[in-house]
Amino acid sequence: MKSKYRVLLSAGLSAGLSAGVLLLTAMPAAAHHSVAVNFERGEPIEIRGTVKEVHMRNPHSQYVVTVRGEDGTATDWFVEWSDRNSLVRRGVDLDLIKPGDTVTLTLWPSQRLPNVGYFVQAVLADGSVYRDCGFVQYREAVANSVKFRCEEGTRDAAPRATQ
Amino acid sequence: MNAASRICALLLASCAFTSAVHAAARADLDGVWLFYGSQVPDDPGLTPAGKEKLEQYDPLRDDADTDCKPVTFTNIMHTPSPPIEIRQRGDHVEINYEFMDVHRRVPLGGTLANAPYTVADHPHMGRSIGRYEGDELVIDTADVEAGYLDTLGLPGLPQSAQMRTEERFSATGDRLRVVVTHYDLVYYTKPMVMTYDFVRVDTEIMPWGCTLEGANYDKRLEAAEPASPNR
Repeated sequence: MKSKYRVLLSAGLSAGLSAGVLLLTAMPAAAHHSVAVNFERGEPIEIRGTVKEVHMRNPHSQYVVTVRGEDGTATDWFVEWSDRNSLVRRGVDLDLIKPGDTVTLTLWPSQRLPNVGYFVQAVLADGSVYRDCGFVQYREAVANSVKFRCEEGTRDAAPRATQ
Repeated sequence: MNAASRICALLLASCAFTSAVHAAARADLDGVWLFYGSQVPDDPGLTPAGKEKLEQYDPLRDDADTDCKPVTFTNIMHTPSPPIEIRQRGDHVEINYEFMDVHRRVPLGGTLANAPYTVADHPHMGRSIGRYEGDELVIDTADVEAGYLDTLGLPGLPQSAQMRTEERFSATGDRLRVVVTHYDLVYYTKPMVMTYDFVRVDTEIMPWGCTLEGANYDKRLEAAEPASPNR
């Protein structure tokens, strides 16, 4: 079913993207249910599409992204992300992705459901990379009394090295 | 000052000293705490009935969280991001779990047989009483709803309605440890112990406001479009 859509496997991902994925492999089950149980965290996939809906909420945030296949068929992908409270606490800008935006998303695909994935990172229209630094970084900052700031989750996100 | 006045003064001073010592012992637990890790048993010691129940576990059907219904306190503490808050009062302890807006009020003293349901809108989480042993807060819980104990840390571990749980809270500085022992001879051959560590965090508990759309969209998607067998 995946082959119907423009899904790029990780083998074709850029070095920059791979580095981002490596950072995020340390991310624990950020949502209420286990990310490890529900999503395949080994091989990320990439989709490119237009954001249809944005739901920043608890216990799971969600983007709905419309992806067009090579034959022009439109398919909605459901992209799960962390709970809203955690993203707020980690300083992630919840308004950085809006309906109508064109984005390239890196996802861990669902183990059971087609067209469902867990958010790893987004490349925005201006080429900047947007992601959540994750619970572990936040927790370690708290434990070490260090002020936490996740620049990748804000408008200060760094431009992507390669497109 | 006559003798009676002296005795009264001594009694008052004694009470004040005792209260101060007691408050000092309790004070460490107060605060907001962020999950910092857990230790779970390699082998929880499931009985044949426990193994059967575990094998039957379906996360899309049996995880009550997907209906915005908190599973158990054990499960909540395995939810890493939302912090918990402990406030010790005179005759009870409040534990506020950000996850699912669970507000637990545990009375200090009494017997478990007469203990109240401690989360008003979620009686399935059982009845509890608390007490102090030294500087440890000990909470005993019974009368939980049969089902699943854990859907996150060790997904699918079962619990029967006969399960008793003991939670021991102790703090050292900015670290909190909660040792949870589950006694359930229906599903476990031995006491099943889980240990949770937390770090004190300078934040406030935020409203959770669980939404069914946020909690169970994967379940609804599954119902709408079953995954193809070759996926």
